[in-house]
Amino acid sequence: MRGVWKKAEKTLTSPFWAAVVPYGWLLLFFLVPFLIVLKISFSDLKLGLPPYGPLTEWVEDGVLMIKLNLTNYSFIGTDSLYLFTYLESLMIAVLGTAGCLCIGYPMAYGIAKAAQPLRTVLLMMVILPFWTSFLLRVYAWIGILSPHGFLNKALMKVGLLSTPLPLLDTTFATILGIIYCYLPFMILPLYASLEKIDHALVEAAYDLGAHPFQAFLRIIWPLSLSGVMAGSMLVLIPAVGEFVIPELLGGSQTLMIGKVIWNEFFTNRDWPVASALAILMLIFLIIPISIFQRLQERQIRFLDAD
Amino acid sequence: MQTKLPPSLKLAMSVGYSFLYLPILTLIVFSFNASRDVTVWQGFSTKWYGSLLQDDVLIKSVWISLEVATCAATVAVAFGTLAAVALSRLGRFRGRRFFGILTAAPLVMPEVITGLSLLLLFVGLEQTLGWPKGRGVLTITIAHITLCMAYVTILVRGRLSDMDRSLEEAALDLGARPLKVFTAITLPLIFPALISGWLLAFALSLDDLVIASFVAGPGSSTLPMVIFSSIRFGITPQINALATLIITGVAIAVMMAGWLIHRKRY
Amino acid sequence: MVKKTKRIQLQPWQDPKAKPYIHLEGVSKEFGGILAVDDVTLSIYQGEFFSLLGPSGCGKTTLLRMLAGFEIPTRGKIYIDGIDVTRRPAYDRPVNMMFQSYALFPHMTVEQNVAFGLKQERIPKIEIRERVREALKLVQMETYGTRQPHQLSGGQRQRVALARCLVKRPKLLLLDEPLAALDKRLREQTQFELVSIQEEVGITFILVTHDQEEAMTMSTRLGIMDHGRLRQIGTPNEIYEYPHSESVADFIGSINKFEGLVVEDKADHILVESEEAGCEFYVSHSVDAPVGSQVKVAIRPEKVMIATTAPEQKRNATKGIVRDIGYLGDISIYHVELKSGKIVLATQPNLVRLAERPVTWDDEVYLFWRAENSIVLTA
Repeated sequence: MRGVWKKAEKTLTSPFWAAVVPYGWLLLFFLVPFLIVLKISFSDLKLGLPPYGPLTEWVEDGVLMIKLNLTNYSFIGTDSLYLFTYLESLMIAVLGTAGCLCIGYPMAYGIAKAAQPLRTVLLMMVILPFWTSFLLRVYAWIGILSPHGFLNKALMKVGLLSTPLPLLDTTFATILGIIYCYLPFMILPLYASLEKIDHALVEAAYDLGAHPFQAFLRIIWPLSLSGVMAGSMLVLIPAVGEFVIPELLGGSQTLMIGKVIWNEFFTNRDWPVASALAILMLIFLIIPISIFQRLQERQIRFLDAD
Repeated sequence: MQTKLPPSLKLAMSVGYSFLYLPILTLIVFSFNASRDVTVWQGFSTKWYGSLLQDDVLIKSVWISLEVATCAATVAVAFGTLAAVALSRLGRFRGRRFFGILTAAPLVMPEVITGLSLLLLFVGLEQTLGWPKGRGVLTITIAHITLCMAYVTILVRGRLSDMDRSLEEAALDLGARPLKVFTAITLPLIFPALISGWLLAFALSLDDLVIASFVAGPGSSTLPMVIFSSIRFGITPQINALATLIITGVAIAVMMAGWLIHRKRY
Repeated sequence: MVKKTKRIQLQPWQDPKAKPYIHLEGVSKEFGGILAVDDVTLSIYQGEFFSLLGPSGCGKTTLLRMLAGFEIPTRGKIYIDGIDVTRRPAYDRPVNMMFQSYALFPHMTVEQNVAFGLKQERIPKIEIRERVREALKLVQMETYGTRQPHQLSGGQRQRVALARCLVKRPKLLLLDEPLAALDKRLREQTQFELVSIQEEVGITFILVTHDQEEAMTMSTRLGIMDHGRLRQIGTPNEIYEYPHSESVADFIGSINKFEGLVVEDKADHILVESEEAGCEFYVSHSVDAPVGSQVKVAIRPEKVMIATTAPEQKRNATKGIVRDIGYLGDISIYHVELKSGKIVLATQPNLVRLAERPVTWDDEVYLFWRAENSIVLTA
């Protein structure tokens, strides 16, 4: 009898319960929804709610027929607009990532080199905007870039321009918005990798006759590559699927995949096509995501190492 | 690595920080503008702050957002902590690797897909099980928990692996059972990570537009959704005033979190 | 007479009727196919101060962690006071461990740290307070009760960690490199304090260390571990003077080794001819080595004597040229090159001042040693 109780107590207080709740939650609210998207991307559009047809159908003689409707995918494939959208999304995201790297690298390097009390303050100042409303930070650029905005006014005052330049509602504005919003995501991993570099290595390079630029190119840059990769993936992945920035800053001429999915879903109410677009976007992102996962795992394995 | 910064680096940094802060500064300055125009200065006024308080739709959305963010952050911290403990303390169990990938996946999933897929799930669930009835605060909260717990897991996992394992072993060795070790030793030591995890989750939930737009129902517009629809109509100093309030609030919260983390580093 | 009985008491392992207090039976531990601990059988008696000595990665810490209950042996059994504890969890064992990092709980005061273990036993509050006070007094930390660990020095933390273990009155105390974090002076002082505390409380101690000096001064017996195996168990004196194998001889102190061939094997002595040494070794204790077998003869540097004139003995004597002299203040180490090219180390106490030293660089000197001081290594 006692043995039974002991066993019951052991099962109930088993630490493995800790895993069950979050595991179950993620399966139900992350994995299953994703499988539903996959399923709907193969079904056909119907009127009504939900606006899609079933995948399986009982045909006569009790035979279950599974219809895999590939029309959504072939529709996307034949309309060059979609292909163009994917390519433009990628281009905008890559340019945005490159911009973040150009601005972020010197900043991260400077933070890593700063002495301690200043370093914490500088780091906090990078993190701070990342916590403030994303939407409002995008909104701030509308006032700056609009035809009567600060930038045009300033350029006209200096005499560089005679008539306002159309800055808002352009691809340029979208890229600028991406750089602005994702800059902290680039700086933080860069800082983490730069901070770890032992300054003695740089001094050793100087000692062996390297110029500062050579020391940077041969020592610091290679050692910070993992940070560059992590930061780039952290910017590139969400930037490809970005919706708010192209919607508010890009105008109608900027086509990005996140915006197209949104419109297919909310405006056209074509759930199957929206789902198929989402699946294609994920396939599109698989390479950067797996690079990121690998980096992440390496880091976590390093963290968990006994 | 600590050395003197060369002037070119100082210049690059000032440009970078200006780039980060000037747009925010313009937002704040023009929230006090007397005119409707957010680009021409026409005298100091706080009337836009007053008109904020009059905006019932906005006020209601603030309450909805706060409610969702509080619930989502709290549950996300609980689940995220459990997940982190399971991943870094339970050794190897079946499906551990897959679980690890699953906990981090919401971080890299594009928001549009997360939102779309959760909406499809909720629609499907309602059809088959009759739950959840319609969409609103509950569905937004569920969606935000899923997103936020990924961040909490990463934070807590980092803290757990920074922690000296022999502390927990010492407690076991002194006769404390595993559950007691967790409550008496592990939990107090990772507590700062739970606080910053909660704040991060709260801010993420408060900030989310895309996912909420997918899973919200009629009458459950969150603050970002209301802001978004008003921005689409055009820029108004009222939004600037709101931005100023949010930025001030968040700045205080971030400083508090920073202080909490740096106060005690065991 | 009194001394003699005490000695017998202190050497329970000599007594065939004595019951071992801690007994490990064929204990092995594998980590991912690698044997960290390989078939260790060991008996430790009540009140012993036993040291496990070995280079890092030799498996000594894994062995200790299996005794504490943090690792479960892949094979074998562990008995404490006759009870099989092999699979018992750490919190259910009458064993406490002092960690290398001390593992003091940073969010608790010194008193709370020491009381933690007693609280788990649900002992009345008054008794806890009393026992905590006693334990802190034992380690001379009674005035530091309300401090936080980060306000203490390394030596003070070490004492608190010790008090936290002792207050539980364990049957066995495990110490994982307890002095490694202290500086040399404090370490030497603490060594003696630990021994006197151990004698006072009468608890069996098992200490893990890679520092041979520490193991030699503190232990009643020590076990030398290497590559997961227990190579030799014995008193510090036995281990130093009579190492069984080359690895033990190498690990403890420095030693000169010569290749040789057994030419005579008698009950009271053997004779080894060594070309490398340029002489015959007459070893005056019995060794299990038949005539014609290849062996190694070893001799400690401090047992090698130096003279400028030829000694009377023909065996156990050779000559060479001084190539180097290491001056350590109290002693000097002479590096003498033999005819075969072999360098022999010989240490001599500096009885006279440096300037008056009779032997100097490039001098031809005679080396000799006593018959009982050379060791035959068979493994």
